[in-house]
Amino acid sequence: MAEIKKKVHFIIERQDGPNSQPYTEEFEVDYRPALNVVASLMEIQKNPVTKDGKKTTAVVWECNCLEKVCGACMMVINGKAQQACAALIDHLEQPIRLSPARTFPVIRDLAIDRSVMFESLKKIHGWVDVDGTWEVHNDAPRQNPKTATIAYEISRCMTCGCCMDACPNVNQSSEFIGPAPIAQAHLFNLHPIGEYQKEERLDALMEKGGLASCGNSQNCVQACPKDIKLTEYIAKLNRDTNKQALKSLFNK
Amino acid sequence: MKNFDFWIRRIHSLSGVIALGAFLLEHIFTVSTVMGGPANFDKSVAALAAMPFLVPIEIIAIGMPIAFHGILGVVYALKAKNNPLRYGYWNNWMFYLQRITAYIAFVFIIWHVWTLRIVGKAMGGHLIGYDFMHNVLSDPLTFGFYVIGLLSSVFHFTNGLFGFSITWGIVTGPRGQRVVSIATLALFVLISSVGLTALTHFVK
Repeated sequence: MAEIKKKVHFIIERQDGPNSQPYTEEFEVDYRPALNVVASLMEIQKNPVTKDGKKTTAVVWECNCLEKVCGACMMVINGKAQQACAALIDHLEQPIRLSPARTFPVIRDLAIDRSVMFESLKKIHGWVDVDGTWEVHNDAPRQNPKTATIAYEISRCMTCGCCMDACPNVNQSSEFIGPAPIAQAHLFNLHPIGEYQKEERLDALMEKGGLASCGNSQNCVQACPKDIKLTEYIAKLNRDTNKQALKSLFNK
Repeated sequence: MKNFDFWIRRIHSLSGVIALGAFLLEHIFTVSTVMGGPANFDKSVAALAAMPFLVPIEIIAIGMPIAFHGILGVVYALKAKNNPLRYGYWNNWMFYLQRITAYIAFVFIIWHVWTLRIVGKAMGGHLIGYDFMHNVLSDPLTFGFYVIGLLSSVFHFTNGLFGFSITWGIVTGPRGQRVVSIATLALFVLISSVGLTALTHFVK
């Protein structure tokens, strides 16, 4: 008797171009242990035939590292934004629904354009200025190891955009820059050299669409695949920006 | 002005707690004197009416902050893409309810002020007292709307205190935020029980 092969059922929201109408297509992939969403998409790519046997184009998506470090394969899986490479089929309810994270502009199918996050990192001065006034390895100021632990946690942000998709206040009609770049401002404020630009960063966070647009839904901290305590840093930055706003009101 | 948007949003938060919150508590406190009998209620209404500079205080300290907080709040709330069905976390439901109760309170307060303060007192010349309120609240539909309006306003205020504690950087850590969240929920139960009990005394 022939063994019936277990299948994995996918319903994928597709879109041919940035301005085309979305449509759905269903696919079936052979089950195998430890299968994840990226590996399933690779199977569909090899043989782009729908569940009904109709030949179609391969589904477009992005991925790189395949170990939840690069952030590229973020998509909405069964309603929640997450990394497709770390989404194990065994943990998902079927049929598995894939769709692009529509908080961002869609390029094609599941591939999205996250450049807005990079622009936001530029806005909040998301880097350390090394101006050559001292040897970086010899006389550089030191960081308290406890602070370094927090900095390490925030530094793991891979700009995947899960927190941005989960946040109700990040969308096309709002200017809110979202949780990820806000937490990065805190990261560079913690750095002993980066601290010198703390005032500029806090000023950037006080602009329209900055920190004050946060509505405390706290979805970001739940959605973050790197367990970054986003809400805690948002609250800390609230404290910092309030202080600075009062200072510039009374001292300048 | 530097940081204009930031300050507008911060004043929005401050107005909600300092002006509207304080008035809500005072209002429920005054109304709940009805629990000591109709005469007791009429006495506290008369005491308020005898306040000097009553109309300027009503306009500047109550009316303007409510209009500012309400109108701006609706503009902010309409920009959100609410998603509690996709992300069904406790705080996300609270975020959603904060906006739903805001819309209800917005309509309720306009109607409440219009029917009692403007049409009833200022234009109709009615004395707002126990007898008047007994008549108004004897209509079951009106009574129902008062219950919904009261619960929405109190929830919006107490849950707003949770957001306030974060917006002002008072509580930052997850444990602290959880404590505030539970405390504000307890405050909701307490204040709304007082308000509901007071409401029932008007129709006894």
